[in-house]
Amino acid sequence: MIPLIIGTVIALVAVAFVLVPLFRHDPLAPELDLPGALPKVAEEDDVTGALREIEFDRETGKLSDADYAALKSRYTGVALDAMRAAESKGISPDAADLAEEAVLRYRRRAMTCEACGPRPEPDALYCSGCGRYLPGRCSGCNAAVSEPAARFCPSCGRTLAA
Amino acid sequence: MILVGELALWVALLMAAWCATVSIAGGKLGRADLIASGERAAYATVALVILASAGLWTAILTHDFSLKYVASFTSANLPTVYLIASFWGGQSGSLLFWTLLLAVFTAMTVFGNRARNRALMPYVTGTLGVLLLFFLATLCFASSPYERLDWVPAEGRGMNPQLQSPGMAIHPPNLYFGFVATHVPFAFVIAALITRQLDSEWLAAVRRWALLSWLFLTIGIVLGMWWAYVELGWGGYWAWDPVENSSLLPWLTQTAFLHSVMIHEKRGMLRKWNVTLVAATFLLAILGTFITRSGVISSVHAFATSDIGSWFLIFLILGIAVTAYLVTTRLRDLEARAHLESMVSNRRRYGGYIMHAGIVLMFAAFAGMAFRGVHGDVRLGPGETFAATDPWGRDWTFTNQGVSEFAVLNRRVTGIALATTMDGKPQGIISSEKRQHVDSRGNATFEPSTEVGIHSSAKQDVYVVLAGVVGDNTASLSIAFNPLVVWAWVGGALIAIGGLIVMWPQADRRCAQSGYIVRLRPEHASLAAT
Repeated sequence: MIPLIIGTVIALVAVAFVLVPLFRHDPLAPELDLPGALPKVAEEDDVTGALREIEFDRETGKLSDADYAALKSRYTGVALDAMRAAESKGISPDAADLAEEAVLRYRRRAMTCEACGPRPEPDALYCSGCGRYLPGRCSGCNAAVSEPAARFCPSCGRTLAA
Repeated sequence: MILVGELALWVALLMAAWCATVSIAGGKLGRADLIASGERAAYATVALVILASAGLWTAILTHDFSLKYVASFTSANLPTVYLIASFWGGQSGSLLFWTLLLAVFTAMTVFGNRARNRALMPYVTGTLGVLLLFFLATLCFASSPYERLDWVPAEGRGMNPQLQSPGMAIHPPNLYFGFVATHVPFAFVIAALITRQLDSEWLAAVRRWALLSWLFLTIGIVLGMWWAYVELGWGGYWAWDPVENSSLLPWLTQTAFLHSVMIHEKRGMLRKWNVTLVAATFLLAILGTFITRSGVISSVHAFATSDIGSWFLIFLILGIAVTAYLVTTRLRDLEARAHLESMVSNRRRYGGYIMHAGIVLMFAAFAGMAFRGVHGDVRLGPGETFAATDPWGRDWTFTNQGVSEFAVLNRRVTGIALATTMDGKPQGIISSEKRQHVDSRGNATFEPSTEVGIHSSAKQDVYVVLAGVVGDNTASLSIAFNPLVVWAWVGGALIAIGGLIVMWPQADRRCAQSGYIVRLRPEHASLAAT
């Protein structure tokens, strides 16, 4: 008898638990998404990465030439769309130009090592990558040193390179 | 408790029916209250199925032989670990176990997606509800573990001795885990097909489930191989038994899916293929169950046959029909689309490497078996020696130390001990047993079974089977050298480790990008170079 009562109670509790949302607005009730939410706009970086990857897959034989051609034309389409989308909504051209100029100004000020390229430290005398003397002035006699990668100062003979 | 469990099974049937109906209706009508009610029904179902399972476990552990299931598959002297395992040792119990796993997975899916994939979820819950309804209906109407006998026997029939092995206690649950985990991706595929939302959202939701299922199927199959190897005395671990094949089929399609899903995620290709593979994996899992249950094909797995085969057959046909209808009406939505996703993470890649290394090891081990050397019907009296050369060219001797007979737990054992040497160096004792299981009153139950003696090393297993005792003391033996077997188990372990690495939850955060991004226009490019 007791198991029957317990069973009935369990059944009633289950039914009540399940029916509750139908009789009151449950604030925790999950809301439906709008199907077909805004599609993700592809980033240019993603597209170039994908293009590079299919190139690699074709070279390693994982992708047939036909698939490669189909994917390439499709991705190029995506890339164009992404660029157009960025043009129309994205960063204003003025802001982009300002950023470019700032970077160019910064780079022009920076020293350039013959071997390692532009240095990040604008006032560097020696290359932080390879230790080469960067063209400038001798720290001893202040004479101009024009020869890149010079090891000694042509005026006072001081050692320049590390 | 037992009666409560039985009642809970019926209430669970009601809940699953409600869950299936209102979830799908809620999705069609766009009514949040119905969807919420359906999800609550999924939670209620899992609670009730747990209660029903607890009821059966109680009956088994308290030896309530008035239940046909308990009387058929257990006995009073069965060790506790096998009492617990007998839950899935027979037909209706294993169905209840399947339902239990499915109910838990359903609740996990509903809970895990309470704030995600909301457009798909009503149909996911609905599909899982339909599957639960099928299994619960089979349990309630065709094969109830709570079926009672007209009289109460004093003792049960006991468990098949071949099932009384540690591997057996974990091999079936692993396979069931793997099989049942295929239901969740199937539900997502059906939901994606119904809503025509066939982009990559559903893939992200199912990838982990598919991997989980694959991992458990793999572990289950490897454990089954191990069980067959140490317990059945086949001498090998794979016999192309119909049931083995039926577990291999969903494993193959799942493996294919795990590879093609990457192409889908990265390129948006192979959509039809992926949808078909997920559905095929599920349907093959059901087919495998049908084959095991129906007894249409005789097999070493004929432990759990009954007349519910027809239920599974109808279910299978319905499943194929629904899937085929949905796929053919949505072919246009399944065309490849331009679409870009992030690259595979390194962690997944390394886990994948480990798994593939495991596969390579396993196949090396399979190849090793081509060189096995078998010596059948070796007869040794006490003190006699048998000499043989193994595939590596080393000389072995086996000296009979005598046959012994003793009783232990629930069996009478005839054992033989062989002292072994390799190239003159002692290698220890290998013993093999013939076991006659008995019930608590000492009466023999089932046919005698064999306990294989194995001397394992990296190069090979020496595998000794006691076929019987001839006359007083002469043992009839089969001695085999099985090269590289141990690497099959090492490979299996590597696959499991690789799978865990791939599955390990990863914090979903992206590293902040450092540095700056510059757009260069052609006229500035020359400036920048200076």
